[in-house]
Amino acid sequence: MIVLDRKARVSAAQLEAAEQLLYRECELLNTARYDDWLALFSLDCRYFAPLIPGQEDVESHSSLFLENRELMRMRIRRVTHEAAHSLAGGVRASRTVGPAALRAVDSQRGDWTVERRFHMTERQGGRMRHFAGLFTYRLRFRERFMIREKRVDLIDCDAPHEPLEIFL
Amino acid sequence: MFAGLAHERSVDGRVYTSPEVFSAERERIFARCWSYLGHLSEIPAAGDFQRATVAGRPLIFIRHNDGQPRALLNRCAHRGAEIAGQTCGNAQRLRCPYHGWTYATDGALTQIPRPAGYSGADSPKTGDPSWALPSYPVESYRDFAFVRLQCDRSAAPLEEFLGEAREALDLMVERSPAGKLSVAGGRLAIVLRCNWKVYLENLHDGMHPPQVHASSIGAARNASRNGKPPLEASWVASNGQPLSAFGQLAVRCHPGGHSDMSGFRNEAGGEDSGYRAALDAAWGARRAEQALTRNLHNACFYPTASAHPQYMQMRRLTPLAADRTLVESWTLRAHGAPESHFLRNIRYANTIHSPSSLVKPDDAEAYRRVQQGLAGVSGHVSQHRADPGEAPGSAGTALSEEYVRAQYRAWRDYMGTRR
Repeated sequence: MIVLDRKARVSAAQLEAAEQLLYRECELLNTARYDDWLALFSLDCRYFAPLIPGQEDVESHSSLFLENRELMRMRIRRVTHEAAHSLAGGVRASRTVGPAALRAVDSQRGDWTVERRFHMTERQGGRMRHFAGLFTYRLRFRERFMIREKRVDLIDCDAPHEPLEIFL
Repeated sequence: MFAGLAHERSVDGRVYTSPEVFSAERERIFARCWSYLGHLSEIPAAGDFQRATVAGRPLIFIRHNDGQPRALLNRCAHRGAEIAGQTCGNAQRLRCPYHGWTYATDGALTQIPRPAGYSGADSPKTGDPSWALPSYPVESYRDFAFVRLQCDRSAAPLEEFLGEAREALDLMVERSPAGKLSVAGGRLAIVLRCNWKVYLENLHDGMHPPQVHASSIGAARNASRNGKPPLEASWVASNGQPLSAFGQLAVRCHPGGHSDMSGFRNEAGGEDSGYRAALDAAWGARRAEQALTRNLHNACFYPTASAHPQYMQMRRLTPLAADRTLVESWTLRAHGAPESHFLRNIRYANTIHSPSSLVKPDDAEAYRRVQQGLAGVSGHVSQHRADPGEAPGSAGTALSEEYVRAQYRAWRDYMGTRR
């Protein structure tokens, strides 16, 4: 369910389509179906995880993740490569999300901004790791919704991390 | 006690795993060497500070109001509480959050609440140096600041300590016509589950990339087939060159365990003529040419720092435990250089030094497996590989382990076990 801002005027059909998309986005990652996951994104998409809280500058500031579609595909090829030694024992992850809130709608462009809190548990190399934060999706509606950007604000984005291999 | 752990061409696995060795290394190596603290541009104004940990001690790297950087122990002289809690900030005075003891930015004790409660010659009092925060010598070379905790009269000043390894720092400074650099674009920090030496021993290892990085090489080559490869893909794919190409990379070993390697990931200059003219005017044509084209990769300032001048990267290494190491990296902006260079270097940092790097996980996994494999075992680790006809201490290639042996010569000197 997407929580509506009182001012937002959107159709029930669009709301349902966006909900379906966001559900699939998480579930495809949870089930490691990365190519299907990438198909939810537009050609000009971006996957971005800031290095510091509130980061907007992506060109002159380093990021935890900053990938266009080409680089996202490269990550998928790497994590599914048979010689990815670090993932030899496999990786399992579960992303649990809170209610989504529609934060902004640009009716002319068909752009929506949706936020939701998440918690992710990852098992890899015999250990468990936990991540928490906020997913912010920028969606664009043409004939259907596509994801133009997924932004992941980790609550500990500016802390040291062990390698981050799969998409959050 | 440590005699026999490190030989000329092999070491006992316990040098990586033993808590006793790690504890001794803190005192004998990290407290005695010049440790990289940071770049002076990180603390531009009086009171600006950054926290750091050197040899297990919490430090405050702070600019005093005389303009000079100080390294103060971040520990109140009263009950020992850490004074600065934030990673960085600005403070005109340092006040302990516990009982309010207050210090100047040079460590002098300036205020004690309820001073009447203290009497007697040995009691704390303001202005008494014995109740100040300990301040350690800081020296900087072209604005790269290092600290040394133990003041040994025989110890070399910073410039002598760095020796010829300084060249990597010179190359970065001389990419700026004004000779001015500043840290920009944030800090990337990664924790590796290995001993600090495992990390340093990989810096010029030309035998590992095609093997360890097969997954990212494969992914990058795949990306390269779809038209023009992104820069990021070319950086990642460069690990996939044949071993014979790594055999062309020149590795120099300097006294003190320092080293550098030239020729990896050479990029076309593409410099604009105005920038080049400004560099020529500032440094002369020869040095300007060197700054732009002499590509030292993973230059090592043993044992706490590493630089990558072509992409203006500086890394600081902090051992956390025998089996955990923190590596932080910063991008330096060369004032007067084209902005496009800086933006490229940020992309490089994202690609190579971010925890999300496609290259890093398999390195980290190899380090972790070394650490795991050596746990509880006292067998020897081989460092025998050499170039044909190589002499100890000579310049070699990335296919030789001579730089590792050179690191252990320094290690033995520090640890007092050289025979």
